[in-house]
Amino acid sequence: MFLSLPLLKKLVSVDGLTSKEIAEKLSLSGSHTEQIISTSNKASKIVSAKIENIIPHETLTKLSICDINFGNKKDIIVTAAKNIKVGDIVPVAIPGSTLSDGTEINPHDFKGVVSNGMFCSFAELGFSKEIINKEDDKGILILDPKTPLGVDLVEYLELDNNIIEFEITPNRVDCLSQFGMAIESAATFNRELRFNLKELFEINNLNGINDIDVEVDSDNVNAYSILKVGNVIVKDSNLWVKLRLMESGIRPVNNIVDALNLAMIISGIPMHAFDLNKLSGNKLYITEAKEKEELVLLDGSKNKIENGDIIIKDSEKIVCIAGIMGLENSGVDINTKDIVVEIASFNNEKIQNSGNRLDINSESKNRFSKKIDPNMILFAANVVAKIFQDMGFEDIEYKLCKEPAHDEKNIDLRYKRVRELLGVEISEDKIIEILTNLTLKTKKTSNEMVTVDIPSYRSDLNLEVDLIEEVGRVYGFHNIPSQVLKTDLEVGSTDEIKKVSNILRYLMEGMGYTETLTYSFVGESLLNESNFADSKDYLKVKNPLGEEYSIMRPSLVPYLLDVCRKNFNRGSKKLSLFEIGNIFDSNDFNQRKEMILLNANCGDFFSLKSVLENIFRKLNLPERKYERSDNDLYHPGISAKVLINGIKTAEIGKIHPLVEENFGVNEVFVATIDIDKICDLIVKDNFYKEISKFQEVYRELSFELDKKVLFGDIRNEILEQEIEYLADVKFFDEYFGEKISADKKALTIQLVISSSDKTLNESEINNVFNKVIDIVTTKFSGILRGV
Amino acid sequence: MKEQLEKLKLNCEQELNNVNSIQSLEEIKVKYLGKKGELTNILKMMGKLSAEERPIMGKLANEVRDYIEEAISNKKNDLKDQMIRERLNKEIVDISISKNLSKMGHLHPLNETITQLENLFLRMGFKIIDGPEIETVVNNFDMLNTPKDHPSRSESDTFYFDKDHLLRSQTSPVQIRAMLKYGAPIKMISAGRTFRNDEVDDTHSPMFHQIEGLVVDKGINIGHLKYTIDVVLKELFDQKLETRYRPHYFPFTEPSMEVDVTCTNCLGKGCEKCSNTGWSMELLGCGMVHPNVLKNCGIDPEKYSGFAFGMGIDRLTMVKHRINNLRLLFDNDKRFLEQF
Repeated sequence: MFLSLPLLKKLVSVDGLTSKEIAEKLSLSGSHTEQIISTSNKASKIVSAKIENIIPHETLTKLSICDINFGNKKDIIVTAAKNIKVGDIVPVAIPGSTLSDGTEINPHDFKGVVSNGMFCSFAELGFSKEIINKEDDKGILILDPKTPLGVDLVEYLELDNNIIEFEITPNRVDCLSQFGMAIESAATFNRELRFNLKELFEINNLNGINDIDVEVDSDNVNAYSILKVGNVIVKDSNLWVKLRLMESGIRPVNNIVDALNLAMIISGIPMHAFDLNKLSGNKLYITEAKEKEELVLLDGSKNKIENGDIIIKDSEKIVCIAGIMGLENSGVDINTKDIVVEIASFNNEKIQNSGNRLDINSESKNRFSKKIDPNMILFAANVVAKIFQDMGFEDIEYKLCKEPAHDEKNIDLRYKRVRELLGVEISEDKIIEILTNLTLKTKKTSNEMVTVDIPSYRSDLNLEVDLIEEVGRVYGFHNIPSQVLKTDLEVGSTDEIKKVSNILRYLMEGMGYTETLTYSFVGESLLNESNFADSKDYLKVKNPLGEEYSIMRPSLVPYLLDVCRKNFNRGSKKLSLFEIGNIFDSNDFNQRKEMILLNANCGDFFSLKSVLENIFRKLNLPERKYERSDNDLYHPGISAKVLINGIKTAEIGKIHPLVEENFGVNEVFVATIDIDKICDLIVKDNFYKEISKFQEVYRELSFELDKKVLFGDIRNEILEQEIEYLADVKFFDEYFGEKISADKKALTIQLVISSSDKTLNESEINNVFNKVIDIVTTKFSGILRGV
Repeated sequence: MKEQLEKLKLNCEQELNNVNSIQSLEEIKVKYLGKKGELTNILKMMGKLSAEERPIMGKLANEVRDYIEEAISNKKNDLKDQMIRERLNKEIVDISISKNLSKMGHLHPLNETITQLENLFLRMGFKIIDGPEIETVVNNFDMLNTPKDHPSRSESDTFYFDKDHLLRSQTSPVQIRAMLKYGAPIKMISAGRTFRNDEVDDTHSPMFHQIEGLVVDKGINIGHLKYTIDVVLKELFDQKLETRYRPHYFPFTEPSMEVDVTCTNCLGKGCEKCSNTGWSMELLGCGMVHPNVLKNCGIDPEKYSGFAFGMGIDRLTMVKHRINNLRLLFDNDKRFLEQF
């Protein structure tokens, strides 16, 4: 929403305020300044002058030499402009002046003729090409013949105002107009409106239309009216109108279109003009299309309406897609003599849906897609009639065909409540002043409260708290003092998963791992590359941004492998990564917390396993059991699932060679931990265990075993027997090679033998020895090797 | 005998002067002071002296012994000093070289911003709550007073699974969960992932992060909200930045506002980065909890009031570390991650 300040000044007395002040203060009262656009703040000393004589340059044939008169002084300008004639008043950049692009003007010698400055075009005054009328863009700017000579045009044409672009929140459709912004300005600066609100919502001074009938046959038309203007002459608008439109981001076209656009900027209601003489019959039908039909629109494009689109028809043909765009067959052209202007309001969702389907983004469609107050059509009719009158058209008639609905609405506002919620002692008078400046009528109903009438254009106000916001924002939230937050709730807390996650993050950092952050959704291709099962088993987003964001990740592994690949491609092949994040199941919408560890070219299976074990030990988890994993992601011989109390809580392994190949990575080891499950298994008590005064005895035993026998199974079996004085069984060494057959291995285990109350003698130690040898030889077919 | 002692002292002195190792020093010590040493030998002759001479000679012998002992001890210290000096002169490394670096981990800057905020709120007595990434339409929109025709509900804005489930577009639904579970009074925050149907570019991502805060109690007003926000901003930015509270619109708060801080680029003068306004925009949205939202959660808005705020953590992290492209946060480039 662009705000033209000269136009605003017509509606509200904001004189004396700079654009910067207006932008700043309106931002603080709720109309957020998105940017301040400087148009002509750099252009200076542009002065009006009359061309008194034009002669061609003798040697430079493309140039003309002009005698110009500033009123009190004459001078000479050499120009290449072709659109000038004797008598034109034009803008002259005199020596010492600056153009909007910063160019400084100096006298210039054109082969013997000195030009004391140059004529200016719209562009040189700082307007962007897109909003300059095509005709005007062809040459220099010709000023109104009434323009006084020798005046500073930057000031005279009010070009010294920056344009402010506001971001209007979706609840304040009324502020997408000068009308709304004028009210906001009046309230913000405590200034007077320059129009009579009541009069502009009544039709008093316009004659009715008798020769055109209108039939409204659609519930999606909120209100409908037409304005007839006879004996128009289609031509250029005057410069003031053009400048105000351009400041509002609209390109001037001709006086009729410009009048409608100007009225739209002021009222917020888009309007459409028909050439009366191109309409057949004397009746307009507003109805909904019954069938598909191809139409040629005003801008020459072809489009197809469908069943349900609101259309305007004359007795023969469709002339307009309501609220979106008129048709070529009935538009205003240079020969138009009489016009009918549609001033109406339609169901906003209907317009939005039709417009989106038709793929038309006209200003009209964009505005009507929002919930504009239908009562504003009366205001708009008065405004546009006034603009036509100012243009000198007198034959103006109006007909209100479908009246807008108007519901009375009022809200009680308690002063005490205002103060309680805002946290500031604000006086009754101030409250009432603010509401009144916002054009909200107040009626004192008691000492404690006031009843507020809500005008139709403020449909956003429905509850008492809405009015409190109005008071608060105009009073200024910045004027409300801070108050120390004191409540009865003084102890903070975190849930268990968060606590554990944070312990793990710092533990991982300490162990040299780098934290990654990957998306919650993955692509099917990434899952396939990772040997994950068919994607139909996973939870899918209905409207994903693309394939790669379509499936809720069932695991952190695929993305981490992708991260691994990206870093390999960038030359980083040594990686130690981790991430804690949510993963998702297909059968419900629940999430589970998973942690992943990844090593690439950082040690072997056992390096990562020791990190995993550190985690378990840090969290004080019970005894872990490692069993072979059958997960396709991993190398079958170098992977395991980890069970705690019989519950699978983690997996670890070398990435399957084929998956490594898919990702173009190597020596990648991954572990995943189910954080939810682990949190349940953590042993909260961590009690001190007495340190034995007697030295532990370490003894090694070596066995020849089948290669597939797991040390862990042997250990568990031995410990289960609860042999007296045997404190632990540890892995010591293993051997594969020439000295034993290929399907066997030599495993050396270390027995930790101790007692808490005495030093053990040789026979007690041998007793432990023999029992262990017995278990390994009988249960695991181990053969004791000579130690 | 006196001469013998004097001579012994002199000889010992001479020998000590020539000693240059601890070992030979020990030998000298044995030679003069040992059980079979020269001093002992002389002392053995004490018995032959007269009763008058004996105490005099005894005193002299003791003096000589003390003298030699001290001389040896001094010499020993000198030798030690000298040896240490020689060793230290030899043992020298080029300390400008870095090698054998020990492995170091790095935490993601975005998660660190979250942790920093969580720790702050924990100190202020807030409950930290984790909410699900997949939410119900009811929690994400309906209970938050979002109008049925609000554009954020559309499929072009929000990711859906079915008509009832979506990827939360904001962390605000955690407010609803918290109020339903704990009722009033409550002080909570929740940080996490949020999702919107935005193409990836330098400033947009379909996944981003928010932190949400809620306080509901008797007598809570905008002053309390401003106090809390100011504490947060002070924690986050070391340099003193001005804030401004600008009215805004959110369906779930009324009044609603956005908080801007001084543009970190131009410090308020106005520049291209802040569109000449001097403010870094939309750092944070906040407001007083809408009475409809309180009612939806079974809390009487006439009895209780509250404030809520939400902040984009991604932008905050970017401002904090001067990261110029949002994509870097999700790209997981080792060279990026290891800077934090």
